[in-house]
Amino acid sequence: LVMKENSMCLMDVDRACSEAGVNRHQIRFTSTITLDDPGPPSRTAEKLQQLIAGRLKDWSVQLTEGSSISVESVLIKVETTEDDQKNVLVSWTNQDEELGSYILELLQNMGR
Amino acid sequence: EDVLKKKPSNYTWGTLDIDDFIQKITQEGITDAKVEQGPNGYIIHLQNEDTLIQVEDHSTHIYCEGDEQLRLKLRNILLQCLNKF
Repeated sequence: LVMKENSMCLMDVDRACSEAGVNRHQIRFTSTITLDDPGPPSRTAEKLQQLIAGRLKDWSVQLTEGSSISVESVLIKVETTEDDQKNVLVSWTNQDEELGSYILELLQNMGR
Repeated sequence: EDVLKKKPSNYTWGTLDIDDFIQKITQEGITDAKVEQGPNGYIIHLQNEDTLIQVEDHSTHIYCEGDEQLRLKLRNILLQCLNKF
């Protein structure tokens, strides 16, 4: 909520900061998990998307190009390693700390 | 799932004071930090912890290999070093 020229308006935080001249400092975290899941990375990404969407029913869990999944600012990217395993990179901003750490924990505990 | 909040608690702004950050992590027992100047800021290597922190004027990116306790410790210290609203 921003007061501007004697009236009030709703603005998203990025725009409000840029109009007020505040330099936001974006914090991002990335952690990597290694999985043993043969097949193409896109297939692994599909399985992970189904797992996450099953747990987070109120959220939009999107499968995107390049074997990636996005939920708000959380990005999950599947890559094949040299020894034919999968690296899963989970990355999120500080604003989505709870969501990001929840998804990381979910994927770390998968299959245990 | 119920505990997940949709609204962030606060936003950070300003530029990170590297010396202040290094001093605080040293106080917390992380004593092997190596700071390198990069093209757009600094890169902090924590070799024993397998962690890399990329610091630019308006962003900080923590690459932490799966050690959640360490990541949360670094997050707390980072939040202490930045301005918030």
